[in-house]
Amino acid sequence: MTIDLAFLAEALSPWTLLAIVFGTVLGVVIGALPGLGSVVGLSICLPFTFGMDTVPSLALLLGVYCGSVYGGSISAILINSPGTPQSAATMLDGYPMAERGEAGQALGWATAASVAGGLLSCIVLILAAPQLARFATRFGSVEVFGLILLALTCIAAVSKGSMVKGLAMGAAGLFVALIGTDPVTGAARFTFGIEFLTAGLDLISVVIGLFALSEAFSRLALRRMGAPTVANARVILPALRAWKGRVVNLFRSSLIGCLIGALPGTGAATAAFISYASAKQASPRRDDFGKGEPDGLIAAESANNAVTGSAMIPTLALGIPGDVVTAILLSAMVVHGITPGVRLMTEHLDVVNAIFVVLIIVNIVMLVVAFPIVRAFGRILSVPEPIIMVGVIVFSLIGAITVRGNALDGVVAVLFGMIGYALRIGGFPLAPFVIGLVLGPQFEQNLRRGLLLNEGDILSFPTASWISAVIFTTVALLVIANPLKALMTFGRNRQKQS
Amino acid sequence: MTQTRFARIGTSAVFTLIGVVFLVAAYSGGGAGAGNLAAGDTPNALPRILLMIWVGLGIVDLFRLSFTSAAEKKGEDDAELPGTAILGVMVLALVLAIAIVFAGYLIPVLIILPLLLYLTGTRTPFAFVLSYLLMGPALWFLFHHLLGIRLPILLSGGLL
Repeated sequence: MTIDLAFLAEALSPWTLLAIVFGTVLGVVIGALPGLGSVVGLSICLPFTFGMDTVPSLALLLGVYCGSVYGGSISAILINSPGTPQSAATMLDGYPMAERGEAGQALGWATAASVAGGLLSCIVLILAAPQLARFATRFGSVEVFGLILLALTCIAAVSKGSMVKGLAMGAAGLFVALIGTDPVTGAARFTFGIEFLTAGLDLISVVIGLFALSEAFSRLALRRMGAPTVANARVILPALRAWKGRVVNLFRSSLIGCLIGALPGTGAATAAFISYASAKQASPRRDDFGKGEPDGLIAAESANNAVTGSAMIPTLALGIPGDVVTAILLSAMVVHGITPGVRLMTEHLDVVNAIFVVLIIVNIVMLVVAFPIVRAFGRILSVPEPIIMVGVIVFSLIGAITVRGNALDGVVAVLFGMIGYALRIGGFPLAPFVIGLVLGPQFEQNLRRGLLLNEGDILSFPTASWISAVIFTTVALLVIANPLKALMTFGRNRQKQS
Repeated sequence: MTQTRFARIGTSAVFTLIGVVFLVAAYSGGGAGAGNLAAGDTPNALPRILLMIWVGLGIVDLFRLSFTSAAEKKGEDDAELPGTAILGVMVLALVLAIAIVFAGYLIPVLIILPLLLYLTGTRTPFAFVLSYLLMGPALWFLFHHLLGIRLPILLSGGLL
């Protein structure tokens, strides 16, 4: 058996390596700045990738993604303000360590655990993605339709706010994806005679508006004029003997991160808190948790970074993104002519292998760039937040305009920025909308094909195969569970009152 | 009723109303072609189902917000409400995006960027000028000339 190693040349080319370093540095900086997370980072980096080849562009985005997840821990430890939601659990033990003068050690534990968690998830991705893709060849239209429905239900169920709002947003996202020309009959749908809408709304413009612009508007509305500066911070990596008794925690937390990352809609923040709780239960030093215990830091940081690799499993193998970040990565792949899913594993194996190698390199680069970035952190934080947010607005506009070379997409982005801002105030979760928007065309295509194959009988979908039976039963349970929980809470409250 | 709760109900009502508008359009548009009627498949079949879910869940959410007691909703009501300046920022961003369609990228950015910086509270001359130069002409030069990613232009040739 011969193995084609051409992907290594792609993954190790100077342009790819440069993109990895640039993306990782930018990601760590963006992640470290409170309020700017992975989504904003990816949104403002998208325009840079349009003129690049496929692998370097994905390398840049993966660098930003992994870097930003790690970067959040820097501000969590140094200024008690998580740069990203994923780092909220890091704050619990990181900041107390910094308070007692062990900021360097805390950053060292966080860096080492992040890199270890990230690398372990790469291994899981390399082993699991091809197996899942092989299994996914059994999926027909009905199963794919059910899987998309399951992904949307999961995301709606775990989204911040109510499930009702989450499901409504998912339906709205799916609907907006259908605006434009119907691919089967060629009929114009909901274009209201506007020619611009016949091609549909550009996904990236909508995502940039909903996330990057609405985030900038929200941050500007809060009128925060800059974060406190930190002087003389540096990373002190833990010695090998300091790991004694902590390696099991590292592996357990990384595995939790990998498992949770592969589920749609859960994400790094959930993984970090679950592994933090499990580490606390298992640790002999559980009483020190929350007071600056390195085990807490290891659990939170290894888990949230382990999500980065495993979140790519359903994206690459099934073409179904688990969260907004992977949805943006998926749309970037589509821009470069690559459609994730089963065929990706057979037709673009070189790209998949290159992604694996890139993810490993990103984690190693992260270890190297952490030292200078932490030293420069004080200076970076001194840039007033309003200036950064105006920068986000300008970058977002450039990003939206350059995707299709249509200036009207900039207007769409700003309009969706305003809509996103209003929806945030209203407590509507944005993730189900974007996932619906990304999966809308696939959802419709598989539904219509499934209807044709089953003589228009949608009720026969759950019995089409054992896979569809499992999927549709899970969807039904998820949908039923929420009102049941609400009813039980209501009953309990009534009992208490009486 | 707190101001934030009112904002939540208002947003939910507008969200539902937009769904209703599209739903009316879906039924008044004549079905957008026949499709495969044997399979119950028309171009507007799925949009109609989705719009019904959108509107239905929107109404459920409105009821939930209106009839749940304020005490139960306490946890959700801690979001901050916007200042008036942010409306100006949003309007300026929209004006900038529309102006780019007609006048290219560079001129609208050079005019509107200082207003955006001022409105968001940047007053220090050094920070103001540096941000203006970096986010205005420097970004234009980087994308349009160095990276070769063409931004909208007013005059052919790419000078403006």
